[in-house]
Amino acid sequence: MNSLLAVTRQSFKSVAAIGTVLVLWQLLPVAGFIDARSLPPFSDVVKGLVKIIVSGELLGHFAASFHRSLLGFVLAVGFAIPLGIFMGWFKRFESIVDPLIQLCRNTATLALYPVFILIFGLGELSKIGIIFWGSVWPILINTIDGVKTVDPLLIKSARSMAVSRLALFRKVILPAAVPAIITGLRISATRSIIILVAAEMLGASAGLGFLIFDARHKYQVEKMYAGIIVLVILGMTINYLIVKMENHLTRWKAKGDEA
Amino acid sequence: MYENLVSSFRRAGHTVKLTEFIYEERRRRLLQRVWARLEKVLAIACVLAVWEIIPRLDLVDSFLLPPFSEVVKSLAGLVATGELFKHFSVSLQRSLIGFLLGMGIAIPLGIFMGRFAPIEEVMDPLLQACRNSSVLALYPVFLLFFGLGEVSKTAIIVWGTIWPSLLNTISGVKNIDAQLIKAARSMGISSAALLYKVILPAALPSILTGIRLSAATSILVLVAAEMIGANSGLGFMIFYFEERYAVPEMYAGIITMSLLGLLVNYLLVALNKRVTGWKEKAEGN
Repeated sequence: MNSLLAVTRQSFKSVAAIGTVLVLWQLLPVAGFIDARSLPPFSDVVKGLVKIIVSGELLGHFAASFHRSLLGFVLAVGFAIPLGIFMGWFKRFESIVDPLIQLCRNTATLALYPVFILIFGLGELSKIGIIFWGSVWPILINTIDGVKTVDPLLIKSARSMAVSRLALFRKVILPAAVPAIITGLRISATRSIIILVAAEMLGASAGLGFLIFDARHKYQVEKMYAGIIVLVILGMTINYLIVKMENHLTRWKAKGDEA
Repeated sequence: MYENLVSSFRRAGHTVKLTEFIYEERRRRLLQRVWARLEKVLAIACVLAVWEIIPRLDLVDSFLLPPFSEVVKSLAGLVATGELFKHFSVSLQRSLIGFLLGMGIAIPLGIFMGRFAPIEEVMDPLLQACRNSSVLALYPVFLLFFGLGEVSKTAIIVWGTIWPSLLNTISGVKNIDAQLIKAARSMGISSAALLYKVILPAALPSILTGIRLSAATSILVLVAAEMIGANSGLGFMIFYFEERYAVPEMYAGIITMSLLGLLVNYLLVALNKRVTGWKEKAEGN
């Protein structure tokens, strides 16, 4: 009985704030405190959302966005993690290349979007390219950092047990670097969505960013808000999945702490 | 370090004077430092050299990637006409105002929410939703409410910079070692002093991480907002030159943007070193 109460309380806590915002969103325009043309009541937005789901419009845009961001992100992961591990291990190489990486990382990603358009044209390639570029740096830097700061004691003790190079890598260095790598993934995932939306607003004929921007131009405000809600849900889902993955990959660590 | 010197002095069997050893050591260290710097400069110089040579050898279309010297020339041209300065100051003003407002909201609010756990628990799902929603998805909403002027751009930068700092401040304040607070309280500390002398210093590293993330976000958002709807600013300038195929000028704009990013990052790293100086010293002892 007590635990049931605790569960209800917990779930109340987790919905209270968002629920309040939604209620306000519904009441303020209806009561006329905010112009309904700028902020239509939440129920109208839900209606708009249902409409674009039923008509299949949303699915098309969603698929376009999903395809772009996933491809760009996966390519970045496949490129940055191996390179980061390599660079974290060979410190001399890293110290030489470091200023270059700092330069690339600190360049606003979107400043380079025009270059990508020039080189790859206005099609899919430039969008995937800019998402790739934007996602690479946080993963790369965090991976390098994670590998570089592995406790030397761990490596020494593994070596003293005559571990092979490959096993040292797989069983010591990688697991110890996982938390840092995941941090990089989370930052990259967030950034990849920001860049995706910007790229789609600047030059695209499909995708969620385009949907939102296009709806604003046509003053279909409900549709615009519906698109934003979909993007928020997408962002939260991705974050949730990465947190799950982190918990899964570092479960050895949590157990160790408890023991 | 001194012991090292003395022991090597002893090993040398008194054949060399200690002062000479010290000079030797100093020279070696200086050389090492200079060499480390030189390596970094060389790495960037190599890239610039490749940038210069590849288009000249026609390995890359020199229309898409003009040689570096031409980019520098057009950069000098933009500086001379004052055009660059105009866009630069507009961008700087927007991002600075947005960033400072964002920090002014996020850090006090974060400290408050970190201290009062029940509020934080209730608000957390909302904060997570806000943080994970793509900042730029909301830009059209800001345009609707604030129009196409400066306010909407500053507002979207404020919105984008708030979340990383807010969440990092909250977690920094929440994770302060409870022993520190108890110890301070047992000495009869006032609330204000507790905040200034214990909570703020202990949460500072985490707050600074948030500030750095926010700074990076603010530049990203700034460029996007300027590209999407503006008629001044570096982001606008870069996009404007791209649309007119003024490629060297476009690269000049990008270089300026990178330098701005590097400068901001450098300043934040320096700030970090300065305000967490007490920590490193304590560890060094």
